[in-house]
Amino acid sequence: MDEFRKVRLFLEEVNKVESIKSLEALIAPLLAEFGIRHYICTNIYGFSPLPDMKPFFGTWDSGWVQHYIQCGLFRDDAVTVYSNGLENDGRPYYWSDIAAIKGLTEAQRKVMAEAWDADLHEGLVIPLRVSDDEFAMASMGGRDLKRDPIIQGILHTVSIQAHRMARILLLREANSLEKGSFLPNRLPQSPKPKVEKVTEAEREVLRWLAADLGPGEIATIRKRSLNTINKQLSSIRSKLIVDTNAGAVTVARNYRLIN
Amino acid sequence: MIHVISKYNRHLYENILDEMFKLRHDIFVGERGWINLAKSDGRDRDQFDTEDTIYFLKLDPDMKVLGGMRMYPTTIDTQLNTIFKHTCVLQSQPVDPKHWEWSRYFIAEPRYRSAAGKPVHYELYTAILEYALEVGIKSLSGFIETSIFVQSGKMPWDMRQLGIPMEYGGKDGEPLGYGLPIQLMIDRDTVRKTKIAWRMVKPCLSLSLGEESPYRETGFRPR
Repeated sequence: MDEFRKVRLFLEEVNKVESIKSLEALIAPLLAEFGIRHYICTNIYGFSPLPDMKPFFGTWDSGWVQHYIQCGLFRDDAVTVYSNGLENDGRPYYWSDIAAIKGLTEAQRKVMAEAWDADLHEGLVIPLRVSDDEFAMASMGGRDLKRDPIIQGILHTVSIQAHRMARILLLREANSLEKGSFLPNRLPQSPKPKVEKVTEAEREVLRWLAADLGPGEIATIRKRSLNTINKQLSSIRSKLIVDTNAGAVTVARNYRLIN
Repeated sequence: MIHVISKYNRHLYENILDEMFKLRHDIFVGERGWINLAKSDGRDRDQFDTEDTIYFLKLDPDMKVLGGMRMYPTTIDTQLNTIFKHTCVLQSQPVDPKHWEWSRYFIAEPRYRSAAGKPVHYELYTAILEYALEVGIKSLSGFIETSIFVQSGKMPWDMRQLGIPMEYGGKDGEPLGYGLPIQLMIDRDTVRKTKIAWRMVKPCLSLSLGEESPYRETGFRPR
């Protein structure tokens, strides 16, 4: 198939890009061939794209993005709610799949309707969960995007590879490193977990969490109420800047809070 | 430490291999629902478990199997040149004695499947890479879940797509998966950077000392 030849070419070229701009220039024509005229990859390194709009990349519809930000549509965008896929397993999903969800609020439906008015009739969301504490996402849309497994696979390939390259470029740029250097795993401006603020009691909870105990079991062992343990877990997640307990364990290990 | 079982020392691990086949059946058929793999003897043993297959097993001090994986050369039947051949739409799996396929990765102990158990996962993969480097294997290919491929983007690996993500299974009661065929290139730098990234300072492979003490683990300094 001709499409696969284009993907092979893309895979050769993507490893040669030297900047985010070159990356964007590489993906734009390929995406356009499949009816995508708005593409944005956000939350790289777990960063929210707002308020400082970094780091992210894409080839977006400026009019839609401006409208999206100015009207605060990000507050009610159902796409971000399902950042790890509709089945929470990282599979891509279409905007029309979200529209079919019964529990959508009126505000969420309004966002979808406004995207339609901006000629973004169908979209695809690709979760890019690199680790427990890093959920990126690529969302793309257009007027003529077809629901097709081959096209979906190709767009997924483009997103995975472009995101992978973007991470490398951002890390290289932020750390002033040469190509081929061993890269650290985070950007310097990544919000640093406040490990020094984790209390001894919270460290104890983290140790039990790392031993694969749930909040109920930890409450029993520590002779505390479940409410107390959940509050401690919430505090831990906030201090370590993660969304999940598994992410908290990962960060705690990385910063040697626990063995 | 990870034990490497090949046709040369298999006779020392017969009971352990049998336990492994039983565990694989429990996990892949019983837990994951791959009912097409079900066997009446309760052992998951398929056409890729041959004399040429090498097994990597994490054993605890009581020789209980905690996890494992297998690999075999691409010069014989592999998943990517038979059952998953149709998925290699970008590039065919290379056929060469220096290119192998890996599959049937499993962790038997629930503890080791969680974030808490990540060191076991790392040890198994690192051991396979160390072994591959040592014997001159240039790449390992296989069919993996797309979510795992995305996570591999964080690693200093040259992992190439042989196909695009696509659904598989979902028929006759089997679960629906979403995966793709890949090829991981192996060189000294890859192994070195992997060990740094995962803080694996010590060697991971167990050395079989033959008939007298088949299971003794020994360490050696990596070159």
